[in-house]
Amino acid sequence: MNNKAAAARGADRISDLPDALLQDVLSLLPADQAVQTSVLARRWRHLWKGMPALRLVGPKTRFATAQDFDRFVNRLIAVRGHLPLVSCEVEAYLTWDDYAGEPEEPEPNLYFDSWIQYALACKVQVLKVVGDVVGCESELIVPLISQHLVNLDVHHVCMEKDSVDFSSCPVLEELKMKECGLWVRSMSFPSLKRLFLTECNFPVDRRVSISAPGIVSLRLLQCGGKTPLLESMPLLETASIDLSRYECKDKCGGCTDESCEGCHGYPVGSYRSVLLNVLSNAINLELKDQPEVYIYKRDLECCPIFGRLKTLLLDMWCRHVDMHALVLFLQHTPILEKLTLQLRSDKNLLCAGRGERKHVRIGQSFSCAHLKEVSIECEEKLRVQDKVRQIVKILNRSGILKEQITFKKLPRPEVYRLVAVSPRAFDDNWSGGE
Amino acid sequence: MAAAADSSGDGGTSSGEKTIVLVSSDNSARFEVREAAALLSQTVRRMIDEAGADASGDGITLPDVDAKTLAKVLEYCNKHAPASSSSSAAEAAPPAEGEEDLERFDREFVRVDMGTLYSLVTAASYLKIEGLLNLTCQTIADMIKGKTPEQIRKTLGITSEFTPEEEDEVRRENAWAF
Repeated sequence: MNNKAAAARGADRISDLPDALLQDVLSLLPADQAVQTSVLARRWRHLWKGMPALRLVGPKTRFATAQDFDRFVNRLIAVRGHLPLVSCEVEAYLTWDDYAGEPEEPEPNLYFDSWIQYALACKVQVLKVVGDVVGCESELIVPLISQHLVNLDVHHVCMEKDSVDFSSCPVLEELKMKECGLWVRSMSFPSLKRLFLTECNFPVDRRVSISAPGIVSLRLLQCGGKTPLLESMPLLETASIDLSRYECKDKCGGCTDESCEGCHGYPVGSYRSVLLNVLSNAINLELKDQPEVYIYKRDLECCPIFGRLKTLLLDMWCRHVDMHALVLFLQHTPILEKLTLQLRSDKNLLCAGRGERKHVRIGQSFSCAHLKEVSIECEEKLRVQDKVRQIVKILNRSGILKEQITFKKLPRPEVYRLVAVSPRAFDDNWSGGE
Repeated sequence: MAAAADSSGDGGTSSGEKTIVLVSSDNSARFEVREAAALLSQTVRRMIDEAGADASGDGITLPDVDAKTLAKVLEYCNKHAPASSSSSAAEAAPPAEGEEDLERFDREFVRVDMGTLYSLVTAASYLKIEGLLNLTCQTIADMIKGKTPEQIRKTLGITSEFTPEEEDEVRRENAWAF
């Protein structure tokens, strides 16, 4: 249709819109409704097949059983063939959380992997995969092989292979993994530029080694198990690390505790930097600390120079702020321009109060010639204010003027409720009833 | 048609910010907009890059967008523009307005008749304005969701040329999706 004439006329006929535009609209519909548009008019009969995006999602309100959903998707795939796809979402059918794997009950999500392979065969560039969060763990079969995959977003799946190698995805730039079980030994991402791992679980008895030499942006947030060992990232610019999850297995049990791995588990000279060395290339860094986690403390023993670091944000539990460590860190950030310190009070029920050294004279100072802005963000509690005064003293002694320090109030945290929440609470499509 | 006074085609607001002149398809209307707003359109961005130093004082003509539609599109761009234009892609800079405020604006913005909506989606596609394209496509998609084919035809203004036999055939063919 003549786009110019249509636009100029202010067309009121949808028929004047080009196919590609209509297919963009169809891509926003649930897959079954997109296919149903085939009966609207002649032009629409096969239009849905050319949709650039496909969402293979099966809400229970629409597909009563996993088999219904399987039948629908397998038929759709067969009719659609291998027309190219730009993006695709494959979501496993949510099984009941009481799925016991009875012999007569067919296994759900048998085709999960074949649908992922279908998307890859359609040259998909952006792929989102969501495993069954309620029932059996969905395994992501690796390696994935694709000359076209650029973005991969994976939720609720597990990987159970010794060595996970993504060199078979040579143009993969971004990988997001959320709430995944990474029961592996090593992972390798030669082409990856952005790696975001959130609430994933690593093994508890060993460190997974991750090789991603092209990483520019890294997020490692709230993961459980032992913090992975990251290999060198010379192109790293921005990193955000949060080790505050309860299930993080790098906790110090107390220096008098013989079984504490952090304090006694490494024979003298054998401790290898877990995080700080690889992060030393960063230009922007955000570190969220958990006082019991020993990684930063140990890594600081051989603190590298953060030669490119311009902005630093430290999110800390106020009572456990280790002034020495803080000053030590700042002595290794020569070109730092902006420093943000977030101090939180310890309302965390899970964090037992440990004795802090009171009346410690902090005699050290640091020297950051380019440090122009310091922002101190804290809650308005007395203990927090004491710490703030200490920090300001150190800053002053290090040449930071009062005018360069801004204060911001952080909201008080909600009381943490240790309530077991049924996964069904998160299922918008669960229609209720057993 | 009055030509812009300066040779580079750049005007200036009272605050001294750079502006760009956009001209509708029939030459009937000229709009001076903030550069940051105009650059939300990847097409305009490309046209400026290609025109380079020779950018004429006459502004940039958009052959596929009529005056009424262009006015409405620019209303969107002005609202969603970042506080200052950046040399990198405009998507990277956050808009000046708050998120809730923008959502309210977007909801009101698409409460228009179907003709205007189709003109907007076409213009957004031609001008390559990602936010507006997403908004208008989503609006049309929402009009399709949950409706019977007959209701969809009525809402969107589709005439079905199917004969009853043809329609039956298609329904049978795709029964698995219903």
